Amino acid sequence: MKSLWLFAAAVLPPLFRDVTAEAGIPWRHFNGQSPDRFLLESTTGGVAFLDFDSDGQLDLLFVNGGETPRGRAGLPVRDGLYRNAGRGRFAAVPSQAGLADGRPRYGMGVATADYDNDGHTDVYLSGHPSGALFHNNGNGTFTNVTARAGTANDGEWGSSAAWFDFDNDGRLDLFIANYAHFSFDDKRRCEFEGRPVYCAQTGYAGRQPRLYRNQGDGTFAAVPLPDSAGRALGVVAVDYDGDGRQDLFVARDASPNLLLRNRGDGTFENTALEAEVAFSPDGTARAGMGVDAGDVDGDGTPDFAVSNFDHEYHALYLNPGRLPFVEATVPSRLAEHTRPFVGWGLRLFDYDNDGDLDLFIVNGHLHEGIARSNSTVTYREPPLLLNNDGRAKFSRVAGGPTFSASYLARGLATGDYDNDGAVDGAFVSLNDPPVLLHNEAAAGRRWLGVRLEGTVSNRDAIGARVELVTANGRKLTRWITGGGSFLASHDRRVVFGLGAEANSPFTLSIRWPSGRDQRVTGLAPGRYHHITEDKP
Amino acid sequence: MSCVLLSWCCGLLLAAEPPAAMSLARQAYEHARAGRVAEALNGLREAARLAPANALYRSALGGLLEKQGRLEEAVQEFGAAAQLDAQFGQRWETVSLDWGAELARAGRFRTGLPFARQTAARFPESSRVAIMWGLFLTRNQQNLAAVGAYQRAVTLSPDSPEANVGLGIAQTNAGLTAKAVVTFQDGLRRFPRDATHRQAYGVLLVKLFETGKASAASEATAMLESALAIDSSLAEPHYQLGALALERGDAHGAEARFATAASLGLDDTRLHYAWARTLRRLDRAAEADAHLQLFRLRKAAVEAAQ
Repeated sequence: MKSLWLFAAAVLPPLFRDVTAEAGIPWRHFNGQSPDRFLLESTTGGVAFLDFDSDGQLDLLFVNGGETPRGRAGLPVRDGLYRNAGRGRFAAVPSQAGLADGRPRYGMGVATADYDNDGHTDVYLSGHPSGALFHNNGNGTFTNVTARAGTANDGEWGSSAAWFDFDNDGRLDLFIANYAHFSFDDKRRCEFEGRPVYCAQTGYAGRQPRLYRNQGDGTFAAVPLPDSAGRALGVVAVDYDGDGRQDLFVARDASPNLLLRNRGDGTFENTALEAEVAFSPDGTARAGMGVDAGDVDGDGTPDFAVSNFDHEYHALYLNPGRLPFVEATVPSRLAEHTRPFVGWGLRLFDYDNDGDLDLFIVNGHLHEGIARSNSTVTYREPPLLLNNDGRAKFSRVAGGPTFSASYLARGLATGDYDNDGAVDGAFVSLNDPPVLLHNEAAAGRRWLGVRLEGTVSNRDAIGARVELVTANGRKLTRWITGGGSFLASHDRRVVFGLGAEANSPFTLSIRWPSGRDQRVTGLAPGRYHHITEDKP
Repeated sequence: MSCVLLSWCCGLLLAAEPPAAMSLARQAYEHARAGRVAEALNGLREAARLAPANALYRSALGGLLEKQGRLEEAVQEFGAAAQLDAQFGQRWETVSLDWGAELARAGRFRTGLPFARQTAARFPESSRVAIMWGLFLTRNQQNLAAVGAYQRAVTLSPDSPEANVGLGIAQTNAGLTAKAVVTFQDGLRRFPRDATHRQAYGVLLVKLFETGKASAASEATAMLESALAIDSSLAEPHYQLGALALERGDAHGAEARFATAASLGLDDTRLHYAWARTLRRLDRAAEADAHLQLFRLRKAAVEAAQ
């Protein structure tokens, strides 16, 4: 079977084509790895699709790591902001349009959103020993507003972050997943068969995540969360229980995952244990890295996929509309496909526009000598493209040369950078150039795209639920989520894959974060529609 | 204690020692007989200092320390004795194995790895030591090296089912699944009445089922059942069978298996977590909560040990 898959990879046209070089992106990641092996180095590499200049074309932001005491770059370590110049080309933006202000900081991830509802996408960069918030000035530049906003997350090793409106006041709040207590002065050393390796994460005390409420005047106030210290790496915000309030799934590394249910009174309760998403079926706190939410089985409820360590299997939790969730890791064949891989960024999206949410996972190990421990595991690992049959059963597909190559991949973002209705991808690999993938799988498939703009709700419509019923009665449900994947931020637009559906107008039902329902009819396929929330 | 003291006493009579050392050793012997262990240890240490070439003093020290449960120190004393007189090598090996077992029981696999490595180097012809070394390597994820250790154990003791089972498990962990299957199937032929082979092979078959071999579920069930038919005191097959039952939605079947596993002494995080999930499906919330509480307690204990 494996040889058949490799044969297919060699002879079939690629579903995704690596266009990094032709797009003109010379950036390279740097993590400062040295014989000291600071664990921090192994978890960096954020990426975002964002339209920072509001020209209707998605730009790219790559987040670099940084130097370590004995891991020097020789040149300044810079993030990479690339403006979409159209026709598949990107151009480096000098000084990252102001995003460089705030370095030196060991960089981790990125979360983008229009937090002040001014129509321009702002940027939060996570890192150690603090993060930074950048306000988009609306003229193609950013201003570091961290101090005034109060979102520095000082003293922390921030990993993924998510913008979402937890109190439904129309203003986006900020959740930051913090990993562990860390200092470059901590000179612990670990070895594997006599060679330096990263010490086990369990030796680093996990930290409490932070939630900042947007007060609407450019400042944020810390919101208490349930006692939940742990090594958090991934986060996605979605209303899992359909009560109209945004909840949070936090993937954690050898700490139980969190499912923070929004009570609606400004507080959260952790329902992960009750939901049976905290641990593996045998009670192990797996190495949760990335997480994403989407309706995998077509029942109208958001399910969760979580990337984990090798031999733990990347997990799939199906949402039956009540607790507990059903762990479908084995029946979905995720266990089979993911066993040897250490997963990081992952996205549920319909790469072939057939109406089903597929799964794109990027992988990469931490230990260079891992092959001496297990003959099926390698240091550099291939990404996985898993096709959903619509009933939450996945098969691995030969996506092209990228999916046969191996990387130390970390952050993964998705977005339709050429506005052709086929969602593209980009990921960062440690100490390598990034990879920009053009989607060539959806050719010939019908699609319909929407960009929602909140008026009462937050302008980005994060938290909106969008439903499309096809001509043959199939219901496609999507959410505009906050966060998702690992260290990444994505195209906020929703693309509905329509497969071979008739070319007739479609009707959309939208539940806005404000609670308003809106129905939009007569939407033609094959293009994006800008839909604004009805005002009261 | 009597055996140790007897050999020590005879040794004293035979050895030619500086008078002060021998006198101290005799006093230590009397202290030990009277249960005054601290005094005996002090006397022997001083005797060993005065007569550093006398292996008996070091061996006696090792014996006393061993009886005190101070295995790590006992290993060192027996080691010193064996360096002086090879006749104490066997004792050194035995106490080293005991100390290794103690480290393993305490879950100190990482800190115990150097000790296990040294022991393996000292006793390269001991299959029991090779098995211990394989265990420490396995628990440190040095899986391919563990395969080598267990292969050495099998070579040294081809009739040892323990060595063969260890090899199969190490091969599984190292990703050498096909070889592990061969090892287990070979073990089933050579040790048809060894339940641990069937248990370990059953666990491998569960993994094969999870990763895409649908038929392995029924094979695993049959293998685990056959382990229980040979040794009904095994708890692990009941846990595995319970987990399989829960996976296919048979909560009643799972609950019965978990209860049996517990009655046979299984009391770990896996059991209590799976049992709690099962009881929730049976609407027995209070019992489920109790098992979740036990799960938390066991988990905290494991993490504290690490």
